[in-house]
Amino acid sequence: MLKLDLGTVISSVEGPSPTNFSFVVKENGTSVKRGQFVELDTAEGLLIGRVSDVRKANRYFEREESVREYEKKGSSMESIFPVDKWEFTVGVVKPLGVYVEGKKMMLKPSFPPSPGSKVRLASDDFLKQFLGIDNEGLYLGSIEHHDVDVKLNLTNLLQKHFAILAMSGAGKSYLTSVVIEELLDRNKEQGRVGIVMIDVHGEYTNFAEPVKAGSDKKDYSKLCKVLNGSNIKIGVPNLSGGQICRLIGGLSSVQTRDLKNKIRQIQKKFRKGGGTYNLIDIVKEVERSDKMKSSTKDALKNWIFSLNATGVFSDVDYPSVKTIVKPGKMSIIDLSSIISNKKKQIITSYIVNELFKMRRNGDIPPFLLIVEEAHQFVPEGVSSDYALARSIIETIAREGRKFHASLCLISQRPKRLSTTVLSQCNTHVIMRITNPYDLDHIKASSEGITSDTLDAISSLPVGEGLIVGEAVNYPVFVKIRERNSQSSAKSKGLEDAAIEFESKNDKKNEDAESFM
Amino acid sequence: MQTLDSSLDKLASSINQLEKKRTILGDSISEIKDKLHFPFKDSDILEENFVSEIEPHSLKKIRVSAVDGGVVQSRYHGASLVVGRAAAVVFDFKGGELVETEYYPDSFPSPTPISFLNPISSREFLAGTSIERSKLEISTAFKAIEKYKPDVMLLDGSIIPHGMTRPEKSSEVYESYKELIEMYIKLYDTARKNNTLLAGVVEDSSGLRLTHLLKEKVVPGIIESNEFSKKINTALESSKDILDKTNDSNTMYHILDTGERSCVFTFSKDPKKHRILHDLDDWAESVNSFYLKSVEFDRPVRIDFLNRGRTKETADKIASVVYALSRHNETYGCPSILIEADARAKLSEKDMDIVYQRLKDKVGDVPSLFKLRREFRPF
Repeated sequence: MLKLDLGTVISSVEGPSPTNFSFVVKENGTSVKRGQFVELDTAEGLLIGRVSDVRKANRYFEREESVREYEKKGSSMESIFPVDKWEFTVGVVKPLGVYVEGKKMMLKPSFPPSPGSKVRLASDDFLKQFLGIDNEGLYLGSIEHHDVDVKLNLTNLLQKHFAILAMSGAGKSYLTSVVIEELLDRNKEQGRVGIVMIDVHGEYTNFAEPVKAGSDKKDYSKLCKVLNGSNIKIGVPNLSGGQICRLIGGLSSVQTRDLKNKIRQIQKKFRKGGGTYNLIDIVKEVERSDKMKSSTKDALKNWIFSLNATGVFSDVDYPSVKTIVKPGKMSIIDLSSIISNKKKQIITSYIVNELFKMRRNGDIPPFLLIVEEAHQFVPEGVSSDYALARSIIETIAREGRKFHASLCLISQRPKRLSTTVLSQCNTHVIMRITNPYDLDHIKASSEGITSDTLDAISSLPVGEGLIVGEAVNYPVFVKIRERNSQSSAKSKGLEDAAIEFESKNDKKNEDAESFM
Repeated sequence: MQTLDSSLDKLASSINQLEKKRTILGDSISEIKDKLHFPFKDSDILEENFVSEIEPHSLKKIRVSAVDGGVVQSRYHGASLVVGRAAAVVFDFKGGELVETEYYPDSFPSPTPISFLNPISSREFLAGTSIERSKLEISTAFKAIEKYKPDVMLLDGSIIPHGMTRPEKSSEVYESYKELIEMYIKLYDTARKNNTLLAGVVEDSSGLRLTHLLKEKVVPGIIESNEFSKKINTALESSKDILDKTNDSNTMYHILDTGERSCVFTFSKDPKKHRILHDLDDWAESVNSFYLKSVEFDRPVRIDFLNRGRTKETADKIASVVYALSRHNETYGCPSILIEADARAKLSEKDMDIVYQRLKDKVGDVPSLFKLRREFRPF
């Protein structure tokens, strides 16, 4: 394939150097864009770099007072001087790596390219090799300014966990849907994982809905099921004493000891064939105790009643956690109907705990746990009483790799996310973020983010993101591909929602009037 | 510091006095300039009116060309090296706007090395350099006229060689000077054949001709005529001696308004005896001049042109084109096309260095090309 010449390396005060060089762009209408990847031959080997800046110059516009003076009478500079003949464009490049014949890995550039060297647009094949694109990988989109699809190796992306970070409306859910599609589309021979989605707002339930007739969207309803959070029950017999104490939270050591003793006693009864039990049974057991102080009894009873009042607990699990994960399928834990944060935390904490336990025992297939609004479940600097799921999610973040339990955290407030967990997500997909604290936090926790990249992040359009970390050899900007699945009803705009509400209301009133 | 300040004070005072006189003279003549006529054909002043108002050319459909040259020079232990180039620019105007630009021979012509290998005096070196640069410019000019047939061709500087250029007959560079003269003649011929108006714009003229004419003829004529008020006469009488200390550009700055040109006058009182003009044979008497003020806050420029007969018509046309191209910047009254030509032709020390290094690559590190010690201090 003919390699497109972009320009020629020039000599300047700063370079060329192994960390920076500039080139003057050819005059034939060639356009060079910031973010493009370029290549050129050097003494070391084939060097690849990224255009970090593009500048233009024109001697006729160098002196502001002259320009003002010449244009004072209404004529433009173009009508007086041949200004177009003096415009030239310079691309500034940051060298990224050198491919040396015979060496397996890309090396860091240690010698500058020569002034006069020809700069070319990086070839697709070379770019794929450089970035670590896997032709069989998950297809997320395309690289800006290049005709190269971004396909990420499944193991590289999932095994060491990843995070999707972006402000509201930047396209997180859209990207997540694309990732889900790619996972659901995989066949057995390619290797399939099960997906469990903690869906705080019910944004992904559309996956489980059949596509309307005539729509060109792909139907994933047979591969997905929705578990309504309101219907989820946690079987009390499946909880250890320690778990129940953590769920209550704030117990003193004496209270913890006493409660654990009671629960042990109940569990012994249950194993001896005494049937199943629930929280009320524990309350009764506490009531019956003659060794416990009455103040302790009262406190424990109150707390257990309070826990019971959440409505989450029963004598058996519903659904069985074992049935949630299936290879190549997705279970969506829809928490949208639950208002209580504590309830959401309890459900999430329990399910994730069980999932990890079963995965460690090999009882369920490898899975990807996607946590939307992750900062609600793994917040930084918040008491564990209010972040019940944090501990287990952090455990998966640290140890999940060994057991093929993968994590995907989605958040619009990276600053509020647990540093431990974020640092364990070895790939970050960063979409538009403008909050300066969040940006600083990202810079500190993502490898390969420079100040220039940070600037670019804050001005990313919707639907574009930066991938950094394990999944790619070098940070790359990607334009997310179009989704194949149908959109969520919750993705409609404010105007449409307002119109819909009023129409429904008007219909209600009409119906009421005609009834009367 | 006190000595410097007091010297500056003295100098400032002298300048102020001179300027005051110039202003008195200039204002007086300016007041009556519309009434100054020269009814009798004069050998020096070739028009009836002392000043003429000029309308800027509409630029509706005209092709204008300009040439400029650049040169850098350096002396070495056994050789002197000069590098020069000339560029012609062609502007096509339509509807009052610049629509196309072309260059000859290139937008950035390759520099031409000119060398002087034998020991040469500084004077000869300067003259030789000037001659070679002019040869590049003039040859580029007539080739550009042949190729593009512009309506007007503007040179940067006069349309005759500079007086300093002419060497003695015994000089080493005299033959080169003769070649230069032939080139000028070829330029005039080419311009005539192609119906191109040829003019040279002298930006920083140190000319004294018109001032001399004012002193010898115009001012005495005004005073003697008694046609004007006593106030004018008195003012002129009291300030006319300033004409001995003022050049044309400065004098005309006080007389001309924006959009006015002076009368056309002969380049020399006696072209056949003029040091340069007499080398130009029959063309000597065709070289005429006038001053044009194109912007309010800059001095007038002198325009030398090749007069082919219709003096007023030719001068007006040239003036209107130069005016149209110069009037955009109120503080810098120079035609845009010459600004572009200068940018294309200019050379820098870096260009000299490139040529020098390439020469050394071919020749080797020979003593002739050693740099002079004064340019090669170790610290």
